[in-house]
Amino acid sequence: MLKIRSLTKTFFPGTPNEVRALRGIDLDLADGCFAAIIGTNGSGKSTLLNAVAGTFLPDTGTLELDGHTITDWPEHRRATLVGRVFQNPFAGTAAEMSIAENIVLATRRGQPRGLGFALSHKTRDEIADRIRSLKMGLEDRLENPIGTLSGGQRQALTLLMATWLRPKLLLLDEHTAALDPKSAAQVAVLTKEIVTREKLTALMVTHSMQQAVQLPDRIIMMHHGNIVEDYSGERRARVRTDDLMHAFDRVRRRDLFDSTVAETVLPQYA
Amino acid sequence: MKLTTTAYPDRLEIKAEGRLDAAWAEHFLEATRRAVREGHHQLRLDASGLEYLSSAGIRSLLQTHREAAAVQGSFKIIRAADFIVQTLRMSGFDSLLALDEGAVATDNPAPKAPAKHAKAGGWTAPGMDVEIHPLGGASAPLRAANLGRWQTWSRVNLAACRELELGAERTALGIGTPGQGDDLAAHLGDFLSVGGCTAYLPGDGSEAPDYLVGTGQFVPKLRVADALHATGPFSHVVRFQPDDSGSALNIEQLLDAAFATTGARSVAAVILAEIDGLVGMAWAKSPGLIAADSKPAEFPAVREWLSFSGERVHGGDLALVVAFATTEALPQGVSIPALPSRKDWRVHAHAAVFPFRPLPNGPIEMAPTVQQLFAGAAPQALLHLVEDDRPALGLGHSAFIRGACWCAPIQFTSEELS
Amino acid sequence: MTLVIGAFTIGFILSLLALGMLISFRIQRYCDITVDGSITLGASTAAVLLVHGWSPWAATLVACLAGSAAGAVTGLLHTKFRIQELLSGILTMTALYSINLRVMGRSNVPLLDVPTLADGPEKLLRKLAGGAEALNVAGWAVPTRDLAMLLTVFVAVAAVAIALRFFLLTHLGTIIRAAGENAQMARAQGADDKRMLVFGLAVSNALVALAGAMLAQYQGFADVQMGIGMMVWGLASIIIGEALTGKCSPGMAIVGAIMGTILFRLLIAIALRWGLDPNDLKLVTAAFVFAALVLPSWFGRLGRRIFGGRHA
Ligand SMILES: Nc1ncnc2c1ncn2[C@@H]1O[C@H](COP(=O)(O)OP(=O)(O)OP(=O)(O)O)[C@@H](O)[C@H]1O
Ligand SMILES: [Mg+2]
Repeated sequence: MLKIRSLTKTFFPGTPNEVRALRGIDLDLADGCFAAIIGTNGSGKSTLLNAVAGTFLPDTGTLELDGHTITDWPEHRRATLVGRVFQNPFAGTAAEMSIAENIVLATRRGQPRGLGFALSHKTRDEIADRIRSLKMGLEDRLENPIGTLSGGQRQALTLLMATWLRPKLLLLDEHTAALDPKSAAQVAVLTKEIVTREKLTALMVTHSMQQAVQLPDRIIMMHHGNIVEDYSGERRARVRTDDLMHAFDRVRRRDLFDSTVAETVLPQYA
Repeated sequence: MKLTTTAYPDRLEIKAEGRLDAAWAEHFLEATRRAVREGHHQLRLDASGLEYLSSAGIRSLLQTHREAAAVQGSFKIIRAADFIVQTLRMSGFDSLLALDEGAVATDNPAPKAPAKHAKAGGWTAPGMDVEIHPLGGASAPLRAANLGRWQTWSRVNLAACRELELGAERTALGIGTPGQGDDLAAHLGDFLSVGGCTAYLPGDGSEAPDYLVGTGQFVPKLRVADALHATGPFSHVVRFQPDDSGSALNIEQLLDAAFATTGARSVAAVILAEIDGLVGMAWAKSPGLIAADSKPAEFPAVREWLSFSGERVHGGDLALVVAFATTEALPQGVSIPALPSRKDWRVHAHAAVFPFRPLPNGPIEMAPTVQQLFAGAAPQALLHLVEDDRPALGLGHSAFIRGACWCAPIQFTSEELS
Repeated sequence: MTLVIGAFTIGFILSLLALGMLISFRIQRYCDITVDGSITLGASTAAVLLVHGWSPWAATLVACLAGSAAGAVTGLLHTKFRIQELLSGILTMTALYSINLRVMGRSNVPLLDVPTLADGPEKLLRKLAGGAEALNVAGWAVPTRDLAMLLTVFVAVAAVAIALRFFLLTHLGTIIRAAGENAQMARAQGADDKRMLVFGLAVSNALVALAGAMLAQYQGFADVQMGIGMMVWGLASIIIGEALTGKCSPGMAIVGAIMGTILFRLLIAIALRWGLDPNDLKLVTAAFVFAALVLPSWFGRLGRRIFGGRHA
């Protein structure tokens, strides 16, 4: 269970460049709920995910995850509860280290790391087994530097890493956006598969309306640092890509409805 | 494949050279659809340059035939080579062939037919080509009224909402809902009604209008907070399209045509036309929810209540517009807002948007045409049309390309006439 | 022959420096300037303690601790006070200059007739050789003392290298490597990348100080100037090592750094022998590192052609 209460974040406060990226977000995400966040560029989706992941501390507001108040936890501590996949396939792995080494890091996410030998035979076999389930043929390339893989393969592995130890919350920030259409679809399917199988609580930012309609249990739309739409339950069940496009259209039109428009239009409503 | 078109007074010839097969069939179909959309309903395919005709090609010919027939037009193949004739005969579609029309080839092409009907006294229809057809009915003004009389932005008095029957003879627009009781407050939204067909916004923030179509005994009814309505047959239909300048026609020009055609100072107009762009608003939230002491009309709070199209929208689609316009003083109780750019004009217009479909040429009847429209597809959007006359940024008026404008002289009464 | 033995001994000693810098520069990708100061710190601490009659083991150990403290300070300046990477190193290095003078009380501490780490092995060798002052190595008479020193530093380097190799393959070592390459990823895996950096710099500078302590014992003095340019020498060694072994696995990188240092020392010994003015040594080294940094592709291609390097 993720509970976000009146979360705000302003970048460069008090300067001409001030950006109010989050303007009081309230969000409850039930256990096992897979939610997508959509919204225009700069609406604060990544900022919200970063705030939850602890990349920075929020200005005001509280965060609660799995019964812990994590508002003041540093990023690495939150990683004990949170698994992440980034938009950039290079961000989630260490390119010069081997596939096996990268994954072995994830087998201890958020746990103490001692002086035990990292890659025992047993661990290696276990890694090979789980990687085999991706059906990408990577199990034979465990020793290769992960930097030699394609973006899609790296994202699939990052996803596997983020969920190796069941996270209380999985954060996906446009994790298919940098991939070609085929790899993107593959990673999307894999995401759904893992999230469903492990009954994960997840937040996924996406710009693909198709993904937003197909994958999650709930769709949240952000605009100007606010949540402006929240499709869940019955509303979620009947939502189609068109409805989402309309929702986008609505917020855009709302922005175009400025005071000058009000001045010329309102007399025509008298 | 290469397509060349030539317009004659009575037909449009499309000369196709090359292969009409699966690869080109869609391209050919698009070309003929464009021709129909531009008002050319008598189509001829000059097949003298065709080298090959596949089954996919035949399918596109049949489809063109069907679509031309749907607007009372025709599609024939002329100057077909023997192998084409054979192919069509064998597949049983030789009805598409017009073997006897080969002779007309000697006609001189003429770019455009001249307007057939005289324009009403002194009015010159600036910017448009028009055909004006009287519809035969009596030209006495229809009685028009304002029902409900909700003062915009005030709290809606639910008890004062009136029931309005929307039969085939009635033309109406306003704010209403089919709902009752508490539902009423939460579901008021813009509506329009023509020929027994009513499109209304459900008032719950959804963008897609719902609709009611009267059939047999069933007459749709709405509870309305405010409505303008008129009952009776319309007197004229104006068929319009841009003149040679090709620029789209705005609603002010069309209403001008209605005024000129009917010779009246108050008119009801129903426009069915291809859209160049609509500018309008819609209730984003049911106005029935306006609280007594709130100030909904102030910016930015007003954005919660009204949604603005923001730009010229729905270009290329088909609009059904209901408009009430007047240049005279209104009787007690009837209220219609003034146009910002022409203070002596008062106009209230709603538009429902449908996917484009071509209309037959000539004097078409209002109610059957509208009923066909509703039978063919659901309305996609509904807008209260506004004029945006902001300097520089303004979007101006809603504008249309070609279609029909039915009009009737009306006379407003101070009664509500439910 | 003395020359060769000397080159090897210094080579092994400076291998410790190179291994230390391998941790900071390569594994953590942190450009750590502290090195110039902490190698002197190791030397001065060990020298002063030896003069005060401490056992060489204890003196060397304390020198290492002092070095690690210096590294930790640099790390903390960077992580806690957000001072830029280079600047925090420069601050510590500058401070260390005065600290070294304070530790020694003057600019130079000679180590005459004090016990060193080589004493034990020397006794052992003597016993084996029946008390001879010099041993015959491939026809050359080499002083037992020199051999003992070589043996000592060799054992030290071997021990450090093996320990480092295994450390880098442990869970902790793996995350430290990852944090160096991609801090964001390390944080996402629950690692405190800042603490990793401080820890890594401490270990790195402990090794550097160890090199300093041994160098003082080998040379027989500690001098406040001795650290100048050490960082560039270490870097040169690492670059040569990478050209020799590639930089794929931690093991190969360690072997490379050691081989690189020794090769570099041999080249210098030869150059000096051919008449290179020792005063020009640092200029030549700097020019070498410049070439290696500015022409990496050229260098890499050359390296691959010559050594069949294994860059992917
Ligand atoms: N670290 C930062 N420093 C300064 N401003 C930032 C920072 N991160 C985000 N912003 C600003 O905050 C706003 C919201 O950005 P954010 O990245 O959350 O948008 P987004 O919804 O993820 O957009 P996109 O779809 O483009 O990824 C933007 O105006 C952005 O410029
Ligand atoms: Mg983003």
